[in-house]
Amino acid sequence: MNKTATQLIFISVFVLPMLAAAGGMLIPAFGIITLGQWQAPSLSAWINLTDTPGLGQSSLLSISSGLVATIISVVLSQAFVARRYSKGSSKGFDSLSRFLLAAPHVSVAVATAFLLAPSGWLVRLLSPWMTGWERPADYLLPNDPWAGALILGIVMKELPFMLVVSVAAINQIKPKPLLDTCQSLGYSFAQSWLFIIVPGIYKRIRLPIFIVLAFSVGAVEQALVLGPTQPPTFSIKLMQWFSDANLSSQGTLAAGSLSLILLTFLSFIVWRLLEIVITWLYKMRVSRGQRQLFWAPVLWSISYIAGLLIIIAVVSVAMLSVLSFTQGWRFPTFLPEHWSFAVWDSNIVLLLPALSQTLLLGVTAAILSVSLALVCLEMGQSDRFFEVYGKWWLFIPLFTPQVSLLFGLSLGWTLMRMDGMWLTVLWSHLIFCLPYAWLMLGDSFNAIDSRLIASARTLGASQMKTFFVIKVPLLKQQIANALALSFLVSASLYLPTLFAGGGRFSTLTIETMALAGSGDRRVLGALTLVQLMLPFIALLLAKWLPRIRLSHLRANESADTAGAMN
Amino acid sequence: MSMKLEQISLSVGSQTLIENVELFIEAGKVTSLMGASGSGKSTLLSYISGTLNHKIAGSGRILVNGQEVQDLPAERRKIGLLFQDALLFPHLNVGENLGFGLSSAVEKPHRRKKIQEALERAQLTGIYDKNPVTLSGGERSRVALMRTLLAEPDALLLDEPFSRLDEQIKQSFREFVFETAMEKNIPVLMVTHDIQDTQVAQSMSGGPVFMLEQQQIKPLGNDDMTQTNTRRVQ
Repeated sequence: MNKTATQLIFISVFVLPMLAAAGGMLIPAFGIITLGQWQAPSLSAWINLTDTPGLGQSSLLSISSGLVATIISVVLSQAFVARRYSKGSSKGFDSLSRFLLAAPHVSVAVATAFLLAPSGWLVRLLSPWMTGWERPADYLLPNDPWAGALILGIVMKELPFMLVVSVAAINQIKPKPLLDTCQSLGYSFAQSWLFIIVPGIYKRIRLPIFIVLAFSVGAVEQALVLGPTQPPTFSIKLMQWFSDANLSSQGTLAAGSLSLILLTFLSFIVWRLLEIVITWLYKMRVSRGQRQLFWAPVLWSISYIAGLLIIIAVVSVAMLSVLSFTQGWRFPTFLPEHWSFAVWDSNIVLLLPALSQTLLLGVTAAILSVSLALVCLEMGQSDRFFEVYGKWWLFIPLFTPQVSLLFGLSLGWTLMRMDGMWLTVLWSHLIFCLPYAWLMLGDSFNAIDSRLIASARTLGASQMKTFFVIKVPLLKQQIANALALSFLVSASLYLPTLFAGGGRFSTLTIETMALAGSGDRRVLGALTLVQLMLPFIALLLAKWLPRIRLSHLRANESADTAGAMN
Repeated sequence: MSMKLEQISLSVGSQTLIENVELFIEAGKVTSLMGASGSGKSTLLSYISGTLNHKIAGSGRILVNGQEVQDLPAERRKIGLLFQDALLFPHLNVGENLGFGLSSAVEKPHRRKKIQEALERAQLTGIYDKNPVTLSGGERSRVALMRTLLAEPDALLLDEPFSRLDEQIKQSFREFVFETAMEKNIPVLMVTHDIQDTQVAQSMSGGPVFMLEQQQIKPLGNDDMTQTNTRRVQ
């Protein structure tokens, strides 16, 4: 494999867009380009931005909702994994968590809205026997001004992610001997877990926590469906400006995009301060030798809340899907009175093009991102460029609010006259799929026994043959999982499709978001069901495909074919 | 056939592992190299075989049959490498693992025959289709050796190949490896901690024994070996 060619591909697909995005924000924000003309730098865009009414409240909402949602997700996940470990694995909850993890953000957000709405199924469950309500009550949920619904929506989506990464961390720690030692010293299981195991888990899940925090502060899909409106969160304010944008307001938009990045970094600083305080408190307590029994009821109570929340989230998503088969569902009846396929019949015209576009983009982005990740990882083992610099570039889209990054990128695409093209949409999807593909494959790829590779090489296999005949087959399950994950990431992307496609490309997520505010809930249910089928099929394929034994690709013949590669 | 190392130096950052080492490895003889853990023995084998981690800097000439190979990629050096773990490719069956070692120049009808012959030579007939995981440690080691030999190497490197085997299997496999190497008349460099390995290698093939310490390779006489053995027993 040619190192220079691989570096060039990586730079053009990934590094250049990041630089373009930075330029696309910095140049207009400091007035260097105004109304398409080069100007002397100025701070007028920032002054305009600070004059915007409600900006402080929007900023506070973004940071507080992001931090609170992340804290709740982390606390719930740690209590839940403790319970899970003490009871042995819980396959049921693991499956439910995976289901939620695979569900697109927008589906979970819409399902949460349907859960909390005045005519939602939670109220139906309690009405009229408990609430006395015969008609939907007049309360402001979702979209409450304190962002409670938004926090709940983010937690419902991020809790499963925190659970999955925590379980992976536990598998690395191997807690049994540590717990046995603590318990032999007289500490309860709950205290041993909190004092000894949680710090070990935290060290390993710190990076995913910061990813969740960055996502929560800059959340758009959830905030559009569930967030407050008067004023909205900062990211939604940016979206609103973007929709009303004219050339003269581009500077303000750019300054706003940079401000959202600054808000995200501010939330990182707050999180770091919290870490320092908690570490100090922990150090104070851990060596005191107090055997405290109250930790068990605290930990188990939180774990039950986590379990309940997972069940509620899954049921909410399922209930939303059920809506698509209903025709008349009077309040306050809990179950629909009439069932019908009418919604499917009348909306198939909307669904099919959106589905085919989602599939086309998703499959292409998955194949390209996994291939690129594999090639970069292979190069990373022999090239410092990828080992040292590659992975840090990859984290930029995960730590930067999507709306800011895409605003910066959109200017570059407009300058290159690439906005609104299918290839640009694919490119934007690649930027967000590649980091996940890399993260999914990286550990397994680097964990391949280097002596196995040395054996293959000394047996006469070239780097390419070793890659295709040894590494790829050894990683076939991980590759299938990475393909499925990349596909799911692509299928759930809203902003990249919107910004890069200029509104010209309809995907399931785009249609769901278009209907989320005011559309027919039954059509939303149909869209959600189709969106949920995609992860199900993708994960099923990821499980089933690697089991196919391609006998003609096995070693004897591969030696022949690889001979040609040498 | 022979292998010669000239002015070999290896370092990790500012730490020197090996400095200006010279070594001649005669064909048909098993040259033993001993040394403490972390002294750089296995790193030296990686440098010779061309599989050195890119974080380690290496320099010096490697001559196999008079040809310089240090600038060639691992697959073109024709230097076989056998580890303490048999390291059969887990996704390939035994026959396929052996087939991986064979050159693509060997035509299809002859491939299976050659593999069967190798299995017979290793007294392992009937395991062609078996999954490597189901084999015993000794069987796996024999398959790994035959796979290495099917690639027809010009030299063979052994990285503590017997250390994971139990005593009974170790003896027979060790003799099998040395006999096969002598029969093929290829130079063999064996890295080991076990004094018995070196004694058997010396008595069977007449190969010399060296010690790697303080970044240098020094020949080890019989008296030194007795002392090393005594220290080990103590």
